[in-house]
Amino acid sequence: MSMRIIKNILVGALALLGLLAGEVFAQATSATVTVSAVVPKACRFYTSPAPMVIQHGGGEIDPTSLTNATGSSTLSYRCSNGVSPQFDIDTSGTFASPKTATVNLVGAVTLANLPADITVTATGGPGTGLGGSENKTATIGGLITPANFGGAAPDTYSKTVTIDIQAQ
Amino acid sequence: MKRLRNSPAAIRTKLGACILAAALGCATGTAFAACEFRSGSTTGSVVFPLLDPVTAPNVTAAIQLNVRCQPAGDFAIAQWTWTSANGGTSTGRLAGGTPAYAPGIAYSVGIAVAGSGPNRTLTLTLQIAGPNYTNASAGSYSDVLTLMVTP
Repeated sequence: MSMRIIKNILVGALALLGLLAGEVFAQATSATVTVSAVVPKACRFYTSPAPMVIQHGGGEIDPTSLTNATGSSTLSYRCSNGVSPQFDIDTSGTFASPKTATVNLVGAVTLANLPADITVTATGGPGTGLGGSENKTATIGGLITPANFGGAAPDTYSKTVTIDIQAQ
Repeated sequence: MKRLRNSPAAIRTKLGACILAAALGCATGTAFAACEFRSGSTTGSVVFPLLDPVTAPNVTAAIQLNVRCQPAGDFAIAQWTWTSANGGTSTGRLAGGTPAYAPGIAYSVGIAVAGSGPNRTLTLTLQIAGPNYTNASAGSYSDVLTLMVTP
């Protein structure tokens, strides 16, 4: 066997050894896998509020009173842990906390408008999660000033108001 | 000396050493790594679908890794184990959130090997139960799973 042939065999053997070594070291008895997930912010209402009556007492507004007629109601919300809610009234497109808007109550007979200020406040504070036992309270306040009810015709005034919630 | 390096005897000695080294390498591989993660499958990533805390369904994610046992019969005795950097060896745990969510988000890990012959596919299936994240803080979560195989 000539020197050249022996050298070629040697080179081939070394190359084979390299391939074998590469295969051996490219494999491993352990592997690492990175695991990731994202939780988005969220807030939702979980109860509907009871009807709110704005009054001085007895379910009525005293037109001679010099004080505001007021009313309140509550509803429950849940938010992601540490996230505060904000609200919108009648789909204005602008969320805030607290959120105040003036809406026109409509007389059942006269169809006249009676302006009322509606405020929604997150009295329960930031959320602690959206699980079943994490309800927080939002308070809805209603107010009609003497300037607005003083000249109102006797009637029953009402309006259905839509309140939306979102995460800040 | 120069004559010895170029002599057929010297070359035979070198060749013998190389063959011995190769044999040793093979022997080492067989003795300590009967089953292995193949090249390209020693790292990976799994991204869970968005974890909506409102509806909070159970969510599942999976990854496939290429593994090899030589001889193939070793699959019958191979032990595939894992460790979660934020959890342990029985429950994985994602850490993160803003503010930091101390309990973390626990997930289960399932391992299945499919195929035939020495080269097979290992499927890692991860699942998060809805109640595990419905109260979680918003934000990003992560963990590192280390998979091991013996022998």
